[in-house]
Amino acid sequence: MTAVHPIEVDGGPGGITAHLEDLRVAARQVGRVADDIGHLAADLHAVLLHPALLVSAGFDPIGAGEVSAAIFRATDGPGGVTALALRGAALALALRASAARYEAVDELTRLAGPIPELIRRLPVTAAETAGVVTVSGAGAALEHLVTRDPQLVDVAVSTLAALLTARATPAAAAQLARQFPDGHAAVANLGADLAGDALGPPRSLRDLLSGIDRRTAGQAGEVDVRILTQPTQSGAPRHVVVDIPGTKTWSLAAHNPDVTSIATNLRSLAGQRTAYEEGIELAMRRAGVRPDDDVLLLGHSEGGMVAVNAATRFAQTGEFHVGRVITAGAPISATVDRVPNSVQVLALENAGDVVPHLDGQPNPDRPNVTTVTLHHDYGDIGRNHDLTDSYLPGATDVAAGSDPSVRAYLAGLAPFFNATAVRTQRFLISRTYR
Amino acid sequence: MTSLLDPVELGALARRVDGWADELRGRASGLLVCASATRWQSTAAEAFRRQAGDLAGAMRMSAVDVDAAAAALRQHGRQVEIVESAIATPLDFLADVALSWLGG
Repeated sequence: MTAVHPIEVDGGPGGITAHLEDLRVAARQVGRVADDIGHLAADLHAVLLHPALLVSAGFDPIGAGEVSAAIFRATDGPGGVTALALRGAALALALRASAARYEAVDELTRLAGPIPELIRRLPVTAAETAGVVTVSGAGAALEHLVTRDPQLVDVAVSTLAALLTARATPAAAAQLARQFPDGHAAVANLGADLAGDALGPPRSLRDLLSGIDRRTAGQAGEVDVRILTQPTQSGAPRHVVVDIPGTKTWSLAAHNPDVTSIATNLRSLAGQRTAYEEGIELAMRRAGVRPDDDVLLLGHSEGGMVAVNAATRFAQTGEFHVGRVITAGAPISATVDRVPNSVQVLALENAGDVVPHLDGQPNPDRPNVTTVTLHHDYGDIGRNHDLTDSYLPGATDVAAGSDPSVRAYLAGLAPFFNATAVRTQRFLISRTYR
Repeated sequence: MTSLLDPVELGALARRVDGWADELRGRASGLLVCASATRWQSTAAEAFRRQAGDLAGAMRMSAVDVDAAAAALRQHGRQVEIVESAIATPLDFLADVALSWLGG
């Protein structure tokens, strides 16, 4: 039995969300409550000195004493209003401090990206790398450095982008993309995936990722549309999975018929529409995906960027209902913010995989964006990014996780795991320049 | 003597203290509403809601103590009223005698 590796989870319904204005309003309201209780304590103390009570004490000293004791208990006892006013003031102060901290973190993140995290990690990473340099040479040392701590790539990429173009990473990618014309999509039907369908419908997150792993093993630009059949389903909305693999060629040729080439990478990183995305849309139409079908877009690496961008645009056009996106090893931080709240995103990122860091910043913490960090480190850039080596076993780790964001996401996938049959159609998307 | 002793004023004071107890309960409810309406989700947010809930509970318990202070004031006012009338009756008798001697 395969050992389950620990995971870390950010965002999702169990993550952090804070409306700063709400926090400030709450701090003011709690502060007012504390002030009011403080005034109440002063008013109660004043009763002790009221002339009517002072004069009457001579005629009913026992009763006046009981009044004094009751007022002391209510004002200065352990649970008295004076102590409550202090507790309220402390709570208001804590709220104000929380709001200020969130504000400061937002500002710091905007200004410095992942630099504070880098500073925290750098001494350990650098010391380890120095050892590798002496033993194995500079190339191995660089690989060790980036696989040991891929956040270095966040900083390197964002810094490089800023130095080269004086812009943030997505804007720099968009500028570079002008050197690589994108063209349009041509889609060919490759027929059914009988071997894949013979394995049956998916029953787990790992099964889902196995589907995209099969397409990754195929030709450049090969995608598929998996239509899942439910037990009692006549005309009811179906569940559909679209598998979108990543880059197959890294050629720097300006014109390239491979739709997974660098032209798509640069545009997708900047959130732009691409021929690859256009091809996905055409493939879904040809596969007969209906507007009310519940669609899951599943993308590895570049495919994850395309999936996120397509989900955003389908939500705008309404042509397809994409309720979920799963990405594996995809740099989506700059684009996933545009995904509407109706789309639930699960981003799987292997800790030693440098590719998710090519956008130069961590994913945003949103209720509909759950980022899971996996731990399958081979000290090798390729294997750390590989579906079979890293993300398939990572899917098993995720399924075993107890984090509320992960459990909520997996619960939403349940209808995809209950199908009785699956019909997969394969398509080949290529780029044309017309 | 009777002008300085004022059971009515003590009753009014007790009602004012009763009002403060109600005000404390109202503030406790307001605090709970504020805590639940704040759009904030995190471990710190859970701690805030827990502390706000605890504080609201303590405020309600404190309101019971303030109620008790008001009740003690009312009881004291009633006692003073009894003492006052007990003193007032012989004083009135003596005043009537004195007035009759003076031919009033």
